[in-house]
Amino acid sequence: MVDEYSNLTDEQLVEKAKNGDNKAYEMIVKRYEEKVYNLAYRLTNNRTVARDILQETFIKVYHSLKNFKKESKFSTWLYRIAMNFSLMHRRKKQYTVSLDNPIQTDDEEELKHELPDWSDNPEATIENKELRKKIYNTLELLPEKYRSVLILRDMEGLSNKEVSKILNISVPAVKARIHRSRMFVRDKLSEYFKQNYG
Amino acid sequence: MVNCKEIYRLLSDFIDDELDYEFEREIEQHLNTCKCCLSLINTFRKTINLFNEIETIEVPEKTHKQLWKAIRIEIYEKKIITKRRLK
Repeated sequence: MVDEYSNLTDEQLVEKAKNGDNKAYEMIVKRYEEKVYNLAYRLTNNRTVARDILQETFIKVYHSLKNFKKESKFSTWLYRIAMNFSLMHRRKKQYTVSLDNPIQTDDEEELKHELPDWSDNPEATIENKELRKKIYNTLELLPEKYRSVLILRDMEGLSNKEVSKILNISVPAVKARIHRSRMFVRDKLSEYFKQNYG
Repeated sequence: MVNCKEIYRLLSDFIDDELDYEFEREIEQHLNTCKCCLSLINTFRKTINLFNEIETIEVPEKTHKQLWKAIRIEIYEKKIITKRRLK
């Protein structure tokens, strides 16, 4: 029964759901369940918390549909709600991150030294479990405002504009944060390769 | 001409194709002669690729069932309340 809705756009489904068509809402959930779960998991690094965020998000969205304005894409609005729940959970769990401290990356002076190029190392692959763990651990070291941008931009594949709308910050702010985040992770991965394969 | 410091600052814009053509050409020319910046850009790009490659995880069956149960309860309860209000 839900299949007849699969060709509808998000906006068409939202309109139907607003008018009380619950099958349309079920289609929305079906379409975005995995995306919201992955976002929540990546932001919290905890499957149980991700499960809670998944439920909270879709229940909140169901009750707030009437407030959804067509000024933004439905997915942007949905991501913003999921992001807010994820941040609330992280704060509850008292993750030791600061929202304001700038992250430290190698400064330009470092460029004067020869940098080892590990990009062709056969171990530099996401299949490498140890490296994957290192990446996740490094993400945890990033202050919230940098980590959110990195996850949305480079893991979820959203554009700078979409990220700016979800986080309610300017595009230049997104660009500045993504750059520092990427550089921070790159520095950590360089240390990892130097220690393990240098 | 673009220098190492500027490349460091513009790496993301360069990789995300957000620079104008002339600037891109300058950076590419610089990379032909600066091993250090080439190494930086290769590892920087590789870092982004690693993020892109992180696989999507499936929603566990139990989580999926709990979600749908919660949603159906929510939808059902809302219907009951609406009906009661209408009576």
